Amino acid sequence: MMKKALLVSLLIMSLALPLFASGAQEATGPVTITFWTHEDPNRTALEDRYIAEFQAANPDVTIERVTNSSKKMPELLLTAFAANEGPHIFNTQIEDGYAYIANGRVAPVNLGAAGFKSVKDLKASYVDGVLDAVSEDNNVYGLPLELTNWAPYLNKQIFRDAGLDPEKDYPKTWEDMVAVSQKIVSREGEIITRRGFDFRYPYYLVSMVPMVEQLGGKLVSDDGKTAIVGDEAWLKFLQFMADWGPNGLNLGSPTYKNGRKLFNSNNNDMGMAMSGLYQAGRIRADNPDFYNSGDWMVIPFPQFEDAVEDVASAYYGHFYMVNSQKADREQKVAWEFITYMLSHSEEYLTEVGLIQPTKALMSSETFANIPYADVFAADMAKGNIVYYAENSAKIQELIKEAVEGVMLSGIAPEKALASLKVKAQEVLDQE
Amino acid sequence: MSTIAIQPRTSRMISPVTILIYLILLGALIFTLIPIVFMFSASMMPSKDILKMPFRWIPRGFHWQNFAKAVAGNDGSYIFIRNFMNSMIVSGIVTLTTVILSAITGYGLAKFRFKGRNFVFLAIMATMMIPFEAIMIPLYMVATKFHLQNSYGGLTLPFLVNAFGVFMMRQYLLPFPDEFLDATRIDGAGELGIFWYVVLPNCAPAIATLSILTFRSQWDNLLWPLLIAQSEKMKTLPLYIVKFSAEKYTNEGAMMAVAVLASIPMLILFFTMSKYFVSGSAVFNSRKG
Repeated sequence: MMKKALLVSLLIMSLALPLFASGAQEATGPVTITFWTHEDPNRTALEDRYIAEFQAANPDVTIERVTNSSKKMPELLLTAFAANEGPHIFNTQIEDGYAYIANGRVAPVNLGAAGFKSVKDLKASYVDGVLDAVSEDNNVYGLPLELTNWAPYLNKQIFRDAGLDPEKDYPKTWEDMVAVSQKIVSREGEIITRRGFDFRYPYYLVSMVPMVEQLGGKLVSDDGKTAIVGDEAWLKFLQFMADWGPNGLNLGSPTYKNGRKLFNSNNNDMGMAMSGLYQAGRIRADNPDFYNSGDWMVIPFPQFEDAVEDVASAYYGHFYMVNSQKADREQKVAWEFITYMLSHSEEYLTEVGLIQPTKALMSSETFANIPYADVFAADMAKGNIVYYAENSAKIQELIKEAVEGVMLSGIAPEKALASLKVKAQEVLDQE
Repeated sequence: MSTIAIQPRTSRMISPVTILIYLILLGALIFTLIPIVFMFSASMMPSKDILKMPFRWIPRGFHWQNFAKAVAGNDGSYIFIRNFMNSMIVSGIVTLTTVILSAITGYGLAKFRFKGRNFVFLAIMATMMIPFEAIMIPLYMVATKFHLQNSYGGLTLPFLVNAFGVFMMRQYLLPFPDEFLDATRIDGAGELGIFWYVVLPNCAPAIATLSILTFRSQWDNLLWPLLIAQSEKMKTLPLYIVKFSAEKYTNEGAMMAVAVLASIPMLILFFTMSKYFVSGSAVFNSRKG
């Protein structure tokens, strides 16, 4: 009796499930495109408008744009794709996105929908090399929402306070950076209350690997088989970081607040901070007085005095991609919509500070008129795309371990390097 | 009428051990309260001041714009109100069903003898050993097959009952006197009537404790709503809070203000039910009557 009652209850519950349900998409007729992206208030306003315009021009298309925290996007996408329920369109950093290409989860750019005759034409419309990260088997699997590189933002007033002329005395080399920072830094005991400059510590691949490359070292050999190439370069870099840290000259540390966040406030606590072109827009929003004062500038990514390669910050990118599990018609509409959005690259630049590196944009007057865009463009020409692979997050974690080891734990650079080499090689061999 | 003789208090020396214990407790209290004080303090400051070192614990004024931004949202849509209601609805539904279903199951496992009772209990307990992340993908697949995305059903179904609740109610009801139940049966009450009118009213401390714990866990739940609620209208408060952390910029002031607003229901719940909650600590104590 009890068993029967239980079975009946379960049956009723399962039949009642659809009552809770939201509607599923019809297989034919009007098409709904799901579009998952990360939170960015300025971009949201822009893309909501593009959606409205695209829907007006295509009445049978509905675009459902969903924003989530960028920190949560990788997890969300992984789960959704594992359940074969991924969105039509999504964007993610190339370090995370590459795995989707490698595993065949994303569709190549629909050239017709994107308005190109061939892959060659598509690539020719972008700055050389920027689509390499999303190119496989003569196909292109993503279009850049943004490619970003970093350069130091400089607070002129803090320079003047330290008796420096920002226009002349700005650091051109990493050795200059040390000397200038020593003049700017203020401390209460051992605690730094004003830093001259500090690094963006969580992002070792973007901002620190280029320093090693300047000295002739490499993260991974050209054939992709050996990790941490060029002991001398790596040792010099690690020694530089050890000297920079609290056990050395005490100029900065990963334990302090992110310099980029402090810079906008102009609280006399951050002389220089590493950031992208988008930072200018953030200064304008956070502190219009500072933005309009002209008391800030951007300088090129410094080089080591004895650099053997002229390398600037790496650039990282977000690429719009399309789910290959969706129907052909839906993929085509998705690419049409992406193409429509990306046809407004000048607006993305002026309103959000995002660079979509088409040749047309980079040579436009709009780009030329953005303050310090020339500095970023010149640096980008000297930079490489950030290391991306299925193991890139793990490799970055290992570099972090080495850098924090020499800076905070007093580990000798030689020992840190030996450990880094072994562990990074293990990770590389697992690929 | 009897009188109670009041003993005069004798002054006692407080032992060093007692002082040490109090100092440790005081340290733990400060350690626990610092983030909460920071949250309240930072919610009243402009972002510029939040980032200033050393941190000024007492705000110079009340920066109301943080709260305006918190409620209006990044896009000025005031979706906060809907998201807040969603959190209330989801947490409320889950709390209600967890309490009722856990109490029924716990009562059955504590007071009814049947074949396989211990196996059923152990099987329920075994589910506590499986982390949510391990079942997240299959659960998501099931939910999407039933088209439960962006629905209250999708947000609540996986949590309608939990093993901890069953365990807690069973432990609480084990010492409940069988003679009392038998006497009620002799009086002609049915099993459901006994449960509803006799057992449930005697479980108030356990129910209050389970309610607070369940409500809090749902109120803070980020992962499942992140997966299942892709519509802005169906998102819950934790998802709303993380939206203030954009990729290149975090609005710390607004984020702290939302956190303050999100804490209010939990604080009200805790302070109104704290006396029961404290009694609930006796849940696992034997109290054969």
